[in-house]
Amino acid sequence: MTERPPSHPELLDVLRTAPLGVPTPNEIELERERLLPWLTRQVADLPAVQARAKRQARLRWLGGGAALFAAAAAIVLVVGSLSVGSAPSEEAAFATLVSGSLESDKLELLPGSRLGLSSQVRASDSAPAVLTASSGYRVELSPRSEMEFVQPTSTRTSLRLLDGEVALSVPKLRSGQVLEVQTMDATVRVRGTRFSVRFDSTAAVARTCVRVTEGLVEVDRVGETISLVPGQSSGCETVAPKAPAALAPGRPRELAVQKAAKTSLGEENRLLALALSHERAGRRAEARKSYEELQRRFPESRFLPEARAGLARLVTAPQGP
Amino acid sequence: MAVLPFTARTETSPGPSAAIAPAVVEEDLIRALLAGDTRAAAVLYDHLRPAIEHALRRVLHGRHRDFDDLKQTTFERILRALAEGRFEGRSSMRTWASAIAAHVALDALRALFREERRLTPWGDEDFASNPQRPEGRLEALAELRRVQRLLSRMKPKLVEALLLHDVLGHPLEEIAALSGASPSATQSRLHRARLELRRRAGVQSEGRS
Repeated sequence: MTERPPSHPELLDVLRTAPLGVPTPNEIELERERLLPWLTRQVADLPAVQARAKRQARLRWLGGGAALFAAAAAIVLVVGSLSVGSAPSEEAAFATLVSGSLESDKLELLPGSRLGLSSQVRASDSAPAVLTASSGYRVELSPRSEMEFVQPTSTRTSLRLLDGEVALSVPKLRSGQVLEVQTMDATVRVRGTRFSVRFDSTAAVARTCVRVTEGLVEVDRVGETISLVPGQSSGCETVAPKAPAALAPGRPRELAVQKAAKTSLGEENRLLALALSHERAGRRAEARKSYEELQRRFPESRFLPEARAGLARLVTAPQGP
Repeated sequence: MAVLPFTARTETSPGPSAAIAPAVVEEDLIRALLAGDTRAAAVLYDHLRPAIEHALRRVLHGRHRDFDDLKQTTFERILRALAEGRFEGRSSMRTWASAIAAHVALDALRALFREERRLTPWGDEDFASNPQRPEGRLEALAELRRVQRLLSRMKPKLVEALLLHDVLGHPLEEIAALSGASPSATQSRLHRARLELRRRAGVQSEGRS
């Protein structure tokens, strides 16, 4: 039997048992109202924060290594980049642009360019961009569409479709491996197939359209998961979105959340997130358009201060190259 | 079928017994957050607020003058840690959030004690509003501040174990999972933390007498 560590009740009891003020439901709700818009903005920015963190981690890793190790790494990278047909490492390059052109961080990428993880890319206005990932699948990004590669796990490879349409051709994956495409309102999982995903971020209601050409695809939307076989599609019809799954009784907050999602709050959120995304990517005209749309369509929106601040930033910030 | 978190509002029992809310699938919630899905913000708030408030209140006692800011700071640290991939899912998100809130509270205590603002009005209203034993209020408040001061001077790892187990009531296994240590190593750390607290209390008592 292990010896029980000596407790110190006379000291810690004062923390454990001293009276605590209990907030009233009204206080809780007020605090929620105060914090939630801020938290929503933080969440909208989270992908960018994550990308920055990864870049910084890579820089720290590079900067912190010994000179010899850095030199060795450099040699490996140079040799790797010169090796014809060799697969790039996941950290150095996750995919290669085969045809078309892409824009990433205001740089134009031409065929042969290698993309790293967390690269946010946009296909040109005129032609689709075709990429091959180091793990073997092929991605065709339609003109004006935007996507990014997400850090993979040992079992999951993910793309995030931010806007537009992407078609994938996926070789048979190893057992337990999953490839998925994430959009704002759905996650599409595959095991080896050909399919396309379309997501219109400017539509009044976010809706992801999935069409399957070969194989089996699983579509995971809020509250439901469906499987599609070749020839089937989901979310491509031009009707209003399906009602959410039935709720258990006695959950007023759930009802309120769903109601908010169906009314304007979700759309206001979406416009703000879209504007911020454009602004971060340096697309000032699109960012301005989204901010102005938010102001015009929702003159009572709680996000108006953010929209005004965003427009002010666009006006005052120096013009990019 | 994957259950996405967007319809969930878990109830507000703040104690550690409510550590895992079945209505929220935390893996899905994290994925939605990292995808920048703004609908996940409300779910995150409702899921973690009780645990965060409980930890902040237990460590700080009462309404710290910057209580609301500290809650915001806790959420900020949580999101940053998620973005940096520092939540590994070894414990529930609520236990993890409790630990982060406890660190935020300790940082606030350290800052306050550094500023030498002894027995300033923050946190006193809970004692002041307690109708029982009015004659003992000042004594209890002084004891509370003494313990807070002792904790604020201990090593973070030790004080984390002490707060999570002895004050917030999280089970040893969950604290071990959170820190990535074995239960026996965590128990040993807790043992050292209690000894350290007792040693510091003794030193202080001798110093004051």
